[in-house]
Amino acid sequence: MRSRLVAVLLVLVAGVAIDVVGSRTRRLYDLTAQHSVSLTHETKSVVRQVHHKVKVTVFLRRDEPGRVEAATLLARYHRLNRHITFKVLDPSESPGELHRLGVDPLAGGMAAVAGDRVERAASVAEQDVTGAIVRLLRHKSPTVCFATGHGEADPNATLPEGVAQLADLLRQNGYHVATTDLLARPVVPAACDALLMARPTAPLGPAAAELSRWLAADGRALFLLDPESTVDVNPVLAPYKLRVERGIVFEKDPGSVLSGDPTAPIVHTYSTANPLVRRLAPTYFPGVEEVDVDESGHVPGLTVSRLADTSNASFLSRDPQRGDFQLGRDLPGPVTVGAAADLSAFRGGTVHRTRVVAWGDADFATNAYLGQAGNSRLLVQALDWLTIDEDLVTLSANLAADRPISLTTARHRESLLLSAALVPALWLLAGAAVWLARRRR
Amino acid sequence: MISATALTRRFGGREVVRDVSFSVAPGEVVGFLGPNGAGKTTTMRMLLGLLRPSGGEGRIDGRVGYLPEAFTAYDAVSVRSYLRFMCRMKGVSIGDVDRAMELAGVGKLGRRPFGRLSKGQRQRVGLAQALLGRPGAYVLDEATIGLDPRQVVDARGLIRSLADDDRAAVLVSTHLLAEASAVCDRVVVIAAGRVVAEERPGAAGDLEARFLRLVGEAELT
Amino acid sequence: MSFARVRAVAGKELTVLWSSPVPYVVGALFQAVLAALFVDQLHAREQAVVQPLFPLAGFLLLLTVPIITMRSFAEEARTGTLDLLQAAPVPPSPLVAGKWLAGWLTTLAMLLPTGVLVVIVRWLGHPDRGPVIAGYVGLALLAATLTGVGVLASSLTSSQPVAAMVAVFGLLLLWFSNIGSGTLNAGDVLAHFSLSERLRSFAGGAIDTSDVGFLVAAVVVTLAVTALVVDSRRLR
Ligand SMILES: Nc1ncnc2c1ncn2[C@@H]1O[C@H](COP(=O)(O)OP(=O)(O)O)[C@@H](O)[C@H]1O
Ligand SMILES: [Mg+2]
Repeated sequence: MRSRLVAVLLVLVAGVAIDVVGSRTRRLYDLTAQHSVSLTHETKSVVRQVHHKVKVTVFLRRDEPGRVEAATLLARYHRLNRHITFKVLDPSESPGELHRLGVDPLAGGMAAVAGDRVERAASVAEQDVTGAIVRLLRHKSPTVCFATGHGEADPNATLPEGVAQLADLLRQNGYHVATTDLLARPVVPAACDALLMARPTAPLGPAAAELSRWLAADGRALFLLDPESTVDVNPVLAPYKLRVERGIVFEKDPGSVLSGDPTAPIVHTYSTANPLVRRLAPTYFPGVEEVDVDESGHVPGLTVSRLADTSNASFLSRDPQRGDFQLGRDLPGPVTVGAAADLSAFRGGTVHRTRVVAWGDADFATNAYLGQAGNSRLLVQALDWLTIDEDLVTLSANLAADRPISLTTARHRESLLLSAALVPALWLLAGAAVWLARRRR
Repeated sequence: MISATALTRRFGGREVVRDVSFSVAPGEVVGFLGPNGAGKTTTMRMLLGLLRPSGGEGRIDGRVGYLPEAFTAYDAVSVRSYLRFMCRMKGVSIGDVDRAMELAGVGKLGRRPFGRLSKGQRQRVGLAQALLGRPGAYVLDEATIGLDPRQVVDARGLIRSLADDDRAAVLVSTHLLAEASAVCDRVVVIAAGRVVAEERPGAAGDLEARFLRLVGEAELT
Repeated sequence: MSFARVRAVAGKELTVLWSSPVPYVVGALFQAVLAALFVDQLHAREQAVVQPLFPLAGFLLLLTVPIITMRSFAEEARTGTLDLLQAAPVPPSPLVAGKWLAGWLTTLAMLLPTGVLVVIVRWLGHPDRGPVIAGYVGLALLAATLTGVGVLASSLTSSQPVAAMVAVFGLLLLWFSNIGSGTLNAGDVLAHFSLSERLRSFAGGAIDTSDVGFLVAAVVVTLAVTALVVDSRRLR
């Protein structure tokens, strides 16, 4: 009797021990196709730093791919740290929340809120979620410095050719916006996390050397160039294998131009995994030149990617007055109009990273065109990519695959008939058979 | 060997069994005689370890065959499977099932589900179940209840043979004098929870008069 | 504890259970409700996902497992057949283990035909295989835990309806304890016991040893407590 009690108590202790050992070891066998459930060490270390409530709201339509995967992913964040809570909403059913959190109703995505601070991301992969949390944790928002002094587009100008709306957009997305006059003093302030140079029109002079120096010292810059400008930034871009090819793109594919203007190409798809253009809507560039990527040679640690190409039917015309392709003079399409370079090295125990994005157009960022198509997202994602926290770059950006089904009325009916009527009927039939067999005994 | 030493049991302050002592030796059938509500079942359950005594001690040496007062098995389970199941529970050989069925007179009911047996048939399955594994002691609570006169005679013969042939210690409770005098070597008379007499049954008429007097006395004090 | 006894108890329990209309009616209802809810989910999502199947099935199990387990000890205590087993004498552990095993196998049998829903998803599209495997592993483990709780509840009373209600109530508390942990600020302690959160982890396509450990431990603990209860109720 006593020994039986002891045995039962031992079993009880063993049970508790199983639970404790299980939750201490915590091995995860991720069986999903994209390994979208496992969180990396980087994420775990970030999540451990969360000591206040972080509310994540995901906006995905019920029929959108990746909705359940997003919920699963966020549930794992919640398991890691109870301060992180989440909900998954259908944007079409919650316009109020969408508006309150400032999430683009078309692009959807997610918003993470801590106190009165909001961080957003366009998609819901580990990279996005952890990125948003890091930005919330980082008490100081990153600063984007608009370069001035060489005739650049003015972040305070509300005229159509100004970029005041872009400055506002960046502020809404958690950035500090500053200006830095590189003519008056050719030194990029230390406070700048990224430099934005939009359509310089006057020669850079000593500022070019400063830009080169600053970039080499882990600088981050976005260059918006333009066929109308004659300023040569190639000396600054050369170390990163980017080169502006002067001219203007003529788009001959009628489906890829806006309102019939062949010099205003639309880019529909982006053939790169770079997060800068991930899930980006079509973008549109009124008057754009080429940003070429030099593919010769190999620089250790340098990754350059073409971000946006115009169609096969397009070409780069050297003579803006001439809209027809001339062999020998013009360059055949597709024409790369935007490219990004990442030069990373591990020196002295720390990661050194320079990032440069160059675009062959500046007009798409101006007040006149910023609101069009995916233009504003492109700029926000470009700056996100430029200023992203060092640690997060290796995080997976695995997005769940689209697994569409077409549940036609007939298939819907057949599915229901089979699973909700036939199988239960078989259950009842089995019961009746057993009952009959027992009666006969 | 079955022995009760000063067994006492209270239910919510009411003393239902008080200071009951007796013993049953191997080869002996002892009748546990008393009116309804006297405390027979309560005493037996204490002996079997199904009820904690408030005082005293009950002991049974070795395995025991138990037939409860209101025996029932599982309606859906056939007689044979039930007996095989009980063999496994008791840890005895399954080969004993046929013998027990024959002895208890349910040899032809093996495939019948318990739920479709008559009252008497059920009681005999209960007896068969108690017989499994030839235990050294039996505790039979109202063993012949629900049996027809023929079967009562058979059951009494069976009980006798358990003591005479198997040398088992058998405790049979009953509220029927006739039963006690027919099979028992000795009778323990219990009334209102107390043992009021312990003697060898003589002539049935004699016992009846004594029994009524004893019970009456106990109820008065 | 001999396995032969456990097997005999489980076999007897299965015979008794499957001779009654309970598993057939419960199985039919479970399948019909689950299928209707899940096909509706497919319709709304237009994606070949199986993940929503598991929380639905898990919640329905919360309501069905207690019906399967309610009679295990309660009925035997009421009719007195438990006395015979205990006088045999059978220690409580093989009784508890056998009854739990029978309940678990019955619940697994209830889950088996839900595979037709996975077949339907595969017919309509290309679901990820990971969540199917992990989800069913999770459901099987959850079923084991629910059965443990159901058997425990049944050992506490001699009334089947009371046993079922106690089990459903207890399981609902466990299922939703993660919500309580948020509002009560009890942190990880309550959420640790949340069955829904454990199941969600499996349904997402991941097998986490901490979840497996918890569910297995829950089975062990509930069965050990049941053994204690059965033994203490014997000697009253
Ligand atoms: N579990 C119980 N709780 C309260 N009283 C009980 C219980 N079991 C028996 N009794 C009472 O104890 C007395 C003796 O019962 P019992 O031993 O069954 O009598 P017998 O078997 O001699 O007919 C009865 O008055 C009965 O009401
Ligand atoms: Mg009685």
